[in-house]
Formats: sequence, C-alpha cells, structure tokens
Amino acid sequence: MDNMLELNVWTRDNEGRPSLIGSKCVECDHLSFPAKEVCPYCMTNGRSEEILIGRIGKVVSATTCYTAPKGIQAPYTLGLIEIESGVQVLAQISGNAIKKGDKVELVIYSSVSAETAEETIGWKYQIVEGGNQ
Amino acid sequence: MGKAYVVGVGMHPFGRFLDKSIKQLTRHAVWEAIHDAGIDPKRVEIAYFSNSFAGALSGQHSVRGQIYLRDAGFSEIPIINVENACASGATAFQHACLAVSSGQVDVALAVGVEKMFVGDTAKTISALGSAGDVETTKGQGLQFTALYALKALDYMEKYGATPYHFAKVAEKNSENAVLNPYAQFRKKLSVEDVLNSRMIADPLTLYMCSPIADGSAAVIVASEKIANQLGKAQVHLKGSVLKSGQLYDPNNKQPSVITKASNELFEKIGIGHSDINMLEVHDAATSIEFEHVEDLGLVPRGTAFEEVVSGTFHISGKLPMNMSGGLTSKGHPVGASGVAQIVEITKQLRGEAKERQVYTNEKLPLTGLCLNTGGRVEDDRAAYAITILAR
Repeated sequence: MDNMLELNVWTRDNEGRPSLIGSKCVECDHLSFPAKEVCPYCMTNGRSEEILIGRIGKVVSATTCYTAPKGIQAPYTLGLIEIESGVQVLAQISGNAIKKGDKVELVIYSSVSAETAEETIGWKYQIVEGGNQ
Repeated sequence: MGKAYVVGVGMHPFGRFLDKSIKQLTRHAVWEAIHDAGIDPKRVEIAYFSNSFAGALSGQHSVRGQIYLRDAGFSEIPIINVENACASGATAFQHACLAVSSGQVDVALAVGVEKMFVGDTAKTISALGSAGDVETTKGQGLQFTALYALKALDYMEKYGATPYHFAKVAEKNSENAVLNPYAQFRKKLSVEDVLNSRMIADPLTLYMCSPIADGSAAVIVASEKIANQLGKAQVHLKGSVLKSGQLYDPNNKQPSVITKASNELFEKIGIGHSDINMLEVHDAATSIEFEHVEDLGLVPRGTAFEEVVSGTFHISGKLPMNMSGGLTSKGHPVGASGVAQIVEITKQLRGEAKERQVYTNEKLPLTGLCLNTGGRVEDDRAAYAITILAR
C-alpha cells in the first residue's frame, strides 16, 4: 500500500485471482462496494461481513475517452460494470471493440509515472477471451 | 421563517484569465454585488465561500474563504467554507438564505470562485476526478465527461436521440452565450461545428462539454426589512432543496433524486410544474439537459430531445433553459457555477437580462428554477441542489 490513509479495495482469492473487497449485510443481504461496516440500506452497524466480489463482470455501458487525467494514457475506455453479485462499479476497461454485454474480468496492473517514476498498482477490467458479445 | 431576498448580484466574466489571481476574481464578483445592492459592505454579517479546487490546484487547502475574502475587505464576520464539488455554489447560496430567513442575520453573502487554468490541463482533470471516491476510482481515469457520455448513450438507446440532438443544445446555448457578456464562449456554433469538433468521450464532442474556466459569482441576500430599505425587494427565494446521491437500485425502479427532490419541493412551496417560467440547469455536457428537464417533470419522459429541435428551450420558447449559455457556453468554474445560475435567474426576474430577456406571455417571468449538481458517490452524483427564485 503506497498510502497509509487508503484502504485496499482489492485482494486475491484462494486461487490467487484478483477480486474486489465488498461487504454483505447479515441483516438484509444488501451488497456493497467498497466494503462498509454499516449497511447503507438498513443502517445496521457492525453486522456486515467482508466478501470477495467482482472477479467477473458484465459491461453495462462503455465510452472511449480521448483526454486523460494524470497517469492515464488516452485513448482509454471507461465503463460501468455489473459485477456478478448485482453491484455496479465504474472502471477502466481494456480490450478491443468493447460494448454492452461483454464479459470482463478483474486484472491488476502496474504503471510507472514518466514524470516521477512512481509506481502505481491499480485494478481494471479486461475483456475475457471470447467475452465479446 | 422570514423571506430571503436577493438584493445584489455580481460576477467576474468566466473564461481563461492567466493574469488573474483567485483573490482578484473573488474581489471582483463580491464588489460588483455590493455595488449592485447599493449596500454598505459593513452590513454583511456572514459569508459562505464556495470553492472546490483551490486546494488541489493552488495548495490553499484550508481557510480559503477567510484568505480570499480578507483581500475583498472582510474580517471578523463568520465565514463558512463550502465544498460540494460542482454543487458548491448552490449549497453556499441556500445556506446564506437560511442564515437570513432563520433570523440569524439580516445580510449574508454567498460567493463562488474557481481558478482552473493553471497551465496543466491533466492536473485540472485529475483535480476534478477527486470529486469521486478516490479510494475506488484511483487509477481508473475517472472523468466526469465520461460519466456524462455513459448517460448520453443510455438516453440515446432508450429514446432514440442522436448526437444531432446534443449538438442542437450546444447550438442553443452558444446562441444564448453570444448575448451574455459574462460568458466564456461568445461565438455562435452550428450543429455541424459541434458534431465536427473533436471527440472527447464518445458520443460527446468538445463543444458538447463544459470547458475548464476561471471565474467568480457573488450574491448578497437580505431580510425583507433591509431589502425594502435598499429598494431591492424584487427577487426572493421561493424554496430550495439540497440532497445527496441515493443507493444504486439494480432494478432501476426508484425515481431519481432530482424527481423525488423536486416533487417534494413543489409540494412544500405550493407551486405547480407549469409555474416554472425558465430554468438554468447543470449542463456539464449538453446531453444532460434532457435528463434534467425530464427528471424535474417539466416535460414528459423521453421528449426533451425533440423539444429542443422545436425551440421549446430557446429564450423565445415556452420553457427557456440555460439563457446564460449554460455551463457549456458560459463556462464552468466549478465553485462559481451554482452562484452564477442564481445571478442569471435574478437578472431575468428583474428584467435586466437585456438581449437574453425572457418574456412569459409578453410579461417579465415570475419564477425561475436552478438545478446544480456535483461530484459522484458510488453510482450517483454526490450532491443535488434545486433552488427556486420568484418575484
């Protein structure tokens, strides 16, 4: 972790595959990403358990961006991903001819800033082989 | 609760002002509002200072209002720093009104300032990206234009709109901005100009997106007693609502925050949708005008893209929208935008909008609405502010 103030939002499952860390409320089954101690749906405190979600997802919508913030190379694709457990996340997506319905998987990537030589480890989605609709 | 009157409005033009500091921008708008109100500035008892990115872009992370307003002459009075991303301005204005209507003070100031041209566009885009949850968006390349692009794609798929319709909004807003001396872009754009400008986030082209801008806007709010003393009791706050984003609904069954909040507000203040004569909405991209005016219930769902073609939202139309040029043509200095919407509606209600003046059945309009939104939390915007002014 490169910043003590940040909580990790991803990890690896038992088989070493990247996964996001979400939470599930024991009282109402509401799923949340990022993980929370308090359920934002029923507001029960301390009855949420951490779960691994979002290893695989489906593209809800995607757009190609031709300008980019620092550390990102344009053009790139940003989209909404419905992760398998019915939660939606906004993420960068890599792959060709990305469109609605495509099957994607979470990947961890590393990029090194040309200016500061600082390494950033991040997560994004990638079209799975044969995942294009 | 007493009434809160808008007694003075001021702005620094929006645009690219490399030679102007945040202090200069602040002072300009505040003093224009003081002169407009004809008030002794020593009568201002509280100030709400709206700004989002002076921390990220200039390093002034803290006590911005106290620093920048000192340069405009203010000391001792309470100054509240307001940050709600692009909705900071409306948030500041609503709280200035609350300070007056609650009886806490007789005179309050709301000022919004932003300086976004810092010689490094990527730095500014990165700062804008911090209006989302940085823990989950880090490295994703979050930019708001992309979020508007996703919404535009959704609208196109649902209702059959095309980029042509988004270009029609840009054309309309550019025509309005030509008439606004405070606007960043005062050049009429044709639909072809808009469609042929470079792609920013598919399907949104450059001229469909609000630009980076420097600028400021200020409003002085006063009690009925003071407003009468100043001879400025024309425009008052009819009602306002401020909300945060809602939880994601996978079934897409619940109405949007804008729909819920506006219905709540209309009912509370006892007016109907048809009482709204004009509006300024948060067109960070031109495509969102359709969703905004439909969510507000002012036109039926899925019809706004046709209404812009038939002229409904033009200054001469039945429901003028973004008479100022909107964020896309007037410019979008984030912390100033919400206050600038109030400035425009005030000028329209006073009959001081010159070539942009709206007439409702050949008379000056009676009621105008502002919709200001900001930031993102999980699947929704972070903040929503709806403000209704009336004569």
